[in-house]
Amino acid sequence: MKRTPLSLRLLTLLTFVAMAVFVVFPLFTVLSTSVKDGQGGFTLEHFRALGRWQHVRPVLNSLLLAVLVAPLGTAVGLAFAFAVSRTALRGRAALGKLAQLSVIAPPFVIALSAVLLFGRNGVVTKGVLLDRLGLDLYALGFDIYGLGGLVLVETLSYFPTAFLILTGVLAAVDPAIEQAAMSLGAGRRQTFFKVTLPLAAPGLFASMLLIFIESLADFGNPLILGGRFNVLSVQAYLEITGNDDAAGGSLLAMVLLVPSVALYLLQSALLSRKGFVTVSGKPARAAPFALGPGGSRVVGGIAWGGAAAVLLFYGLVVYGSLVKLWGADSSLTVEHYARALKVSWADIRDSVVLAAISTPLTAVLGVVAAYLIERTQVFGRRALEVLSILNFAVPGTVVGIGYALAFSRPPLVLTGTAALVVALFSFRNMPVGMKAVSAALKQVDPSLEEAAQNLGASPARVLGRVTLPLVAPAVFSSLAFAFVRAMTAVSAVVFVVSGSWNLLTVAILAMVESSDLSQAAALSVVLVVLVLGAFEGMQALVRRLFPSSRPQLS
Amino acid sequence: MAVELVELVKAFARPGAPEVRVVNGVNLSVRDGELVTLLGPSGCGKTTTLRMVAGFEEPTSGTIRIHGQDVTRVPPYRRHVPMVFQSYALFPHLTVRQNARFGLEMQGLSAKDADARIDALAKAMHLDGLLERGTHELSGGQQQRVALLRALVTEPKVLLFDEPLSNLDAQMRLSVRAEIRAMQQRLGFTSLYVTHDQAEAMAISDRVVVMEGGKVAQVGSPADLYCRPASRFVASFLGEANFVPATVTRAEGGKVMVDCAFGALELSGEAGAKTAQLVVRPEHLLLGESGTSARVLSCTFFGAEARCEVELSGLTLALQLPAPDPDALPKAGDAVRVKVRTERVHPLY
Repeated sequence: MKRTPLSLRLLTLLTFVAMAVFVVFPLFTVLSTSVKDGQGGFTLEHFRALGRWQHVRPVLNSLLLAVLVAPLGTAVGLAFAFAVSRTALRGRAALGKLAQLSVIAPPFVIALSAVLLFGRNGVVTKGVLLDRLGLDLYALGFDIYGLGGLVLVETLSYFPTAFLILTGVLAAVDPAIEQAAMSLGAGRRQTFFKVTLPLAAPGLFASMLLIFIESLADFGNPLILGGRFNVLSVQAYLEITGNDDAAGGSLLAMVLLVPSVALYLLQSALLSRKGFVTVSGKPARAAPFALGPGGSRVVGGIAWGGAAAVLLFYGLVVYGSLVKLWGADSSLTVEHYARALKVSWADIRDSVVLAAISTPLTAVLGVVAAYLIERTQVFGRRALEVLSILNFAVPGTVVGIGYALAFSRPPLVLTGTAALVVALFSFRNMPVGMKAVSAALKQVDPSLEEAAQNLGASPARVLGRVTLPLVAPAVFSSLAFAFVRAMTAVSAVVFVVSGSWNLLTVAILAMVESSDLSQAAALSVVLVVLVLGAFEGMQALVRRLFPSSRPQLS
Repeated sequence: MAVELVELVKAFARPGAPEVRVVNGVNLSVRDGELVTLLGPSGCGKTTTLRMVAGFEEPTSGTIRIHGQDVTRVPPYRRHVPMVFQSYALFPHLTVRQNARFGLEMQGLSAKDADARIDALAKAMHLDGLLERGTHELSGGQQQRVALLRALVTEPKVLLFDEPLSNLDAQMRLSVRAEIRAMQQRLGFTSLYVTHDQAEAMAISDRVVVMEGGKVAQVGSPADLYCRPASRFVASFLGEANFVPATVTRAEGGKVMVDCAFGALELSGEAGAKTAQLVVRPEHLLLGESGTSARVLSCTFFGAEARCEVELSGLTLALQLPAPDPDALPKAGDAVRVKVRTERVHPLY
């Protein structure tokens, strides 16, 4: 048995200490706060609060919303996945690109747009129906604020999750299997329903579970569009910031945490099930099974419908940002941009600076964790893996409450500092980098590293000269994601921003709440442009630096 | 005819470059009950030809007929020509029995009738113990036999095989190969079989189609191709061949006299030209007391045989010694005499 070098053991220790402080400690604080009485003793008194309707309702609402959004988002994502990879439809590449870009959009822009479209002063509700046709939807009981609006908005926000999973699942199906079905006499429809769809079933379940979790954890959309339809994440936020009830907020956070983590573990088990990995033999040159004209029309119709809705929603934000006074004066102006850049300049700067600082830290954490897990035998590497995965599944609201409570009192007081925001970003996004680097490391044949050692390279030099260069494209790709996630984060950071360090996303939410819609729209456009520019720029850089590798979406 | 291919062409367009003809004018007839192999190096067009017969690729031009019916533009699921895939392509979400039932369901058979047929055939193939298993519980050899069962149970007009043995280890390959051939001879199903392994083609086929560069180089029984190859390519692709240049000195009455490194030889047949390349297989060269003198370059013992390289009149020739005595093998540098079995020499004009 080879002894683990001292440097490696130190690195492991350091990683564990860091994870303990910035991942475990905040979660533990949430748990302990929810079971502590005023004197610091143990109590289950707060759980009585769960019996109160004001607490039960958000739980039921959250579950109802997630139950509706999960299948809808998966269905739209499935149509997108089939339209892009299994039809000859025109513009399917554009559909794929749109779905991919939707993944990186800030998580509340669509809600903002829904207000611009269907609010009391909305383009559709007021501009078209009321003013032109004299039809007052709101008088008829329609309200974009509430369950219906949230289902629409979250479906459009989260279908790309299903698209990415199902595209991967479809690509992993050996084309020979579908051809075998056809050569046995199954037509396109039968092949689709009897072979392709069952093979994609684990991916469908995994998509539904993930979207369910995303919906549970969503904070930005329900904050804007919830109205009287209270959900868990928003209620927890209100308990902490509005009622100053740390115990109540923590309790709701725990209620949010448990199903999220459980379902996340279930879906990763589903996707890693061995029996359904069907790629075998030499890579077939064969084109995969394509849908017939009828099937193409169905999935194409749904996908183009979804795409049109997404484009409409984003387009409306741009329009909204140019309208002089929403609902009153429809003349166009750029003054919101001028004002946004002046008034919110500090927020924009803080967002970019903090995201930029945390991005390389995220990458370093991701590389270290992935390396320890995949390439060493150090004690506790499994625990590290589990911890990283759990970290990924924890809803932002829970993390945010944890950070706010844990670092507001000794031993470690960080409240109001940039360090707290940076730590939050770095550790929260760390699994993104870790998963990408892990996947890349799995692709690197260990015999390459053995060959380097065999040629006289020390472990450190093997790492520097062989391993790291091989996983560099994955590291850089994940940098782009880490930056985007930091720039668009809302649910966790909303608890740790301060007067001295505010963020663009939080500023936008505040503007929406004060009904400053045009201003919010202008800042959203600025944010989307920044994020898209940074993301595409990073991806272009990766392609430039590593021409042979393909950028990957995690 | 079970399968007829007429002037079959498959061309792929390449942007900014001339199109590539992967299959370039293939003509072939497969008779009922025959097992015909498409053999050739990778890129020769054999797999594309097979996939056109299955209907997975559409020919650029030419005609495909199955039992006299033109199926060139018929979709794969109406051709009733199941394929046994290299990757087995078993449905991972179905059991062995459900896999086997799939094609029968497509034909509209009731589950009861289908199961009766599956049970009978599975028994004949010694797969009856595996029917209720999941496909991932099977070994590679079992998976391949299940793939064969799934195709065979539909009583196909023609069965297609796409390099079915190449994912199996060497021993398994031999036994599954023997089983496919035995089943084929017992049930008499017509088969078109693609492989790049010449030993497999020789062992399993009624006739072999050697393909090169998208065209048919030669069609014939394994013995035909081996003993009377039509070109240098066929001669060296099937087995090992020495090529000995020769000039024709006289040709009359079905006899041809040639002059070559072995002196004057009398061959049967008609002369096609003034010069020829003689195909001489290593096992048709003999070491002995008399014959042309040569020098041994190397000699390797393989157990059942030994193989030597000798230098003879400036030619390097391979020769095979049957049942060799390992202690009395020729050594490099030895002077030897080499005789050729004239009746097995095949001239290429």
